Amino acid sequence: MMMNKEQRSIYIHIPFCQRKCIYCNFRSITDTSLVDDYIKGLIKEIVLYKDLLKTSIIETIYIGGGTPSFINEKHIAEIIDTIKEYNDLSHIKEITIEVNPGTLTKEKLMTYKAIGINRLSMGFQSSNNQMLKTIGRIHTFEEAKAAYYLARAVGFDNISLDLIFGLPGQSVKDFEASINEIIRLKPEHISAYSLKVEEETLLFDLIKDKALVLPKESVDRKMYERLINRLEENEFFLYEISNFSQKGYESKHNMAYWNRQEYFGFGLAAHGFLKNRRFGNTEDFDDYFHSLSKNNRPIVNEEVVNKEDALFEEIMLGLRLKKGINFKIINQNYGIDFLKRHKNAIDFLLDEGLIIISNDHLRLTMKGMNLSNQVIAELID
Amino acid sequence: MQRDRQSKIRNFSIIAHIDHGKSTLADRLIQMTGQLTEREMQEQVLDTMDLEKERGITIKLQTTRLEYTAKDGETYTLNLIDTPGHVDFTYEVSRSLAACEGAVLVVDAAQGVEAQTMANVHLADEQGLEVFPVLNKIDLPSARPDEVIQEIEDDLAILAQDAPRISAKDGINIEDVLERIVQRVPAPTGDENAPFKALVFDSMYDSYTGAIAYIRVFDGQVKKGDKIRMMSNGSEYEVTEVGVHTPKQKKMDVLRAGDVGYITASIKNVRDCRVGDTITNANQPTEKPLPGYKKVTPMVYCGIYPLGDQKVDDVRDALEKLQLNDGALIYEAETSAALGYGFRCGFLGLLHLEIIQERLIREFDLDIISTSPSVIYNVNMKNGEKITVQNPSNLPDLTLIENMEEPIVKADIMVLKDYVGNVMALCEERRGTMLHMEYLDEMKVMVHYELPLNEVIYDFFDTLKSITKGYGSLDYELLEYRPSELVKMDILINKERIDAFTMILHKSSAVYRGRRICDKLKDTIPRQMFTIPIQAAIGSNIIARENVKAMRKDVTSKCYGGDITRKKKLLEKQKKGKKRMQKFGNVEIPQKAFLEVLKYDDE
Repeated sequence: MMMNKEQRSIYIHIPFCQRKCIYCNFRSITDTSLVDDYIKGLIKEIVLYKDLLKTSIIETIYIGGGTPSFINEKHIAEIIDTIKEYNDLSHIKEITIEVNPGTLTKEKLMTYKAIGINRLSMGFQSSNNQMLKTIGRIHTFEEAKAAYYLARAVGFDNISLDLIFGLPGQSVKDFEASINEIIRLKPEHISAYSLKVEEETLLFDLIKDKALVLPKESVDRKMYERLINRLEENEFFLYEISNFSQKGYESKHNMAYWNRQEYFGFGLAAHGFLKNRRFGNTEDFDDYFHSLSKNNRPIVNEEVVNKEDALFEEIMLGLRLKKGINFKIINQNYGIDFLKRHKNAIDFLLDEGLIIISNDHLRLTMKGMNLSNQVIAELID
Repeated sequence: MQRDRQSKIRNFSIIAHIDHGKSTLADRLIQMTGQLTEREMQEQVLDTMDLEKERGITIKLQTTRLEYTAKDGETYTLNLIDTPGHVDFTYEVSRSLAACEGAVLVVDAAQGVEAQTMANVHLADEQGLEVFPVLNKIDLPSARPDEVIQEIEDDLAILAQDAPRISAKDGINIEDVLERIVQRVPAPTGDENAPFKALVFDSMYDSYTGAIAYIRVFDGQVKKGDKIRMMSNGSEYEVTEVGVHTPKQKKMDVLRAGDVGYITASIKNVRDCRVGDTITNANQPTEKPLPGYKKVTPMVYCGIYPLGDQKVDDVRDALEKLQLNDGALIYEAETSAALGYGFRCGFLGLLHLEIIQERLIREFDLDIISTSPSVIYNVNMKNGEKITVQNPSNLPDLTLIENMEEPIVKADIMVLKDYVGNVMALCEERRGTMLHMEYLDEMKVMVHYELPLNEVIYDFFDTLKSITKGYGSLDYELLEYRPSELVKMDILINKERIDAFTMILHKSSAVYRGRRICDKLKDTIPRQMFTIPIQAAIGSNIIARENVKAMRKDVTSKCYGGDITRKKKLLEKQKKGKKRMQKFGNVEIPQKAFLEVLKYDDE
């Protein structure tokens, strides 16, 4: 370990999409006229953090969105180049970019590869074309597969595919078909998210108007169960509530989040965790540009993480992981007796089969994962 | 000379159906007579409690003195005595009316004569008051003054052709009302030289002066330093201050026959200063007290317990403070197996209970839960012992009980003749026995029933209102205790008896009520990590059952872009929600569940 240098990750947000998916409440727009200004702003923001970048050991970078692959690849190169001006990235292990299969070209992929991106996260979502259309995706399953093989041909050897389940009108059988198709592609990593209906989305309105109907909660959970079983049979191991990988291919960037490592958050609506403070950037383009024009960081929320908060986060994030939380280490770090402090709750959670305790770890059972928010709420103060 | 002074005094109330504009008119009168500056003039000065404003009902009486120079050039003192408006407080209404010579009857020019209009006129008639009508809300497009005048004359037998047509809201024709008060309300005719005799029509607690008695002086006079005697119990005090409300408190040298005002006498508690009591001079007492004094006794009891992190001492402090101002509220410490330390409280009726409960929650910001309301039962044990039970959990084992007696009330229900059938059906359903029925006039009927009090305290009044389209009024008084086939019903949540929900009720209604409660609890208890059976039981016999199904899914699939803070906030909120629930074993029951059970029926 080098002196005075701390391990940190970088998250970069690209808030542009060719089309908005109906379930998305994420900060993104389809108006590309702002792209150039945005990239200029983003670069300016990165420069504002140059001192901290210089003293950080960067192991992972994650370029998310929006659809980072939607904008011209040269912009992605500019961003990476800017970072390299203040950090030689000599410790880099993983640079991920989120890509929409409908936006990929060979040139794009080759540029990504050339600038050091070594991991792709592709939004497949489903193998059912009708369903892809319903939720507003711009690609078919066949197009997605073609993009996947193209990426392989360009030389990407670490690819994650995203699935969504609990889609409107989806049956367990439908979802199982998607799982099987994905398994056949042999990606290194699979993320599978249960659809959440957020307010202020088209999906929310469509469901309210009964134009679309979601599967029942019990069906959604059956899908999740089937997912875990099918993937494990095929050597994809669940390591976090929504994430599966072949051995050794866990997402290093996401692991950094779960392990409470610090990270820079660049871009609109991005979040960062630096020097024991959590930040949130503005979600408003005008505010974003305005702050940067005055050489101010575009931060709208900032919170110091005190010891109680840290413990809270430790439990909240740690329990998302398959391995759970190591209470022996927590006891040491926070000067508490975790099992004693939550004895009643833990007894109850054990009785209900929601948690398992072994080898100094407390982790969620399958049932516990389905109710993880409830379990976590029992174990925090 | 003294007659001359009294000839310039008018003591009056404003009576009205809810929402017909009583408070607005009172505000207007205060404003017109220039008692308060614009700045001091807030909306509805007289209704000072938030809860009253919200419900549009007056719970606590307020009084104010107005100075008005009439068109005849004379300046009159008009004493406005406000009245509360609910069956639980009928006695208080009758006492404030007893302090007046006349009443302004406010009728909504669009709504016309309604249930309470009638009930209040009836009360005012009983007190022998001069009642004259005023048509309010004349500015409304839906106003139909001519028809309403006809209604008043037909239904109430009060002449109304020349009733002032006003808009209290817009301040139209308010002066007509003032003139009418001067002309129509008789001046008081007390004897200033007779021994001091005054009626307490309200009392309030002030931490500096002790209880403040709101009085109407009928004879004689009172001033600072006088020795006074409360005629109901003979207790004596020295007067420390006399004065009037304008509506601000204003000190005076003396209050004389005909005056309305207040006295303080270092009375430690409002309980020593009861509404309806007569105050006289201890050295020169009057012979006979004023008629109508009634000692108020609680009719309904329930337990009030702190919820979650709330401390029991905070609840005690709040009850203590409320009690200073509310002579009818009583409480004593008790413990519950499920709820820990709390208080058994006694109330005039269910509305009184609800009001106290809401004040505790809102004004004192307490997290509390209330147990099922109960009346007092007499229990005759097999060993010859007689006990009384007002907490259903304390009912001894049934095998030790010879029999039980429940309180029966005599209920007087006034209703329009069209609704008599509905009222009789309701009373029969509530195990009532009709005594007799009389026509008060062509429209109004008074039905007299004997009813078990435990049937009356729940939703009887609300049901009565709904089946008579609001035109039903209820008054009741305790008659006697009678043997009855009563049972104790327990509610079990997750197989555990929750003593807060235990109730004593008649055998015939147990199954129905048991089902209703289980059903309500099913809907108010949030789904938890396991299935929760909810059962109603009499002894070991389950009479109703529902399940709160287990929650299947509560998981955040994704933490977007490292936004840990948002997730943290959501979990913190969830945790806070849990803390506001009472935990029974592993089951969390929200405050709302207790309120719902208490409310009983809302179908």
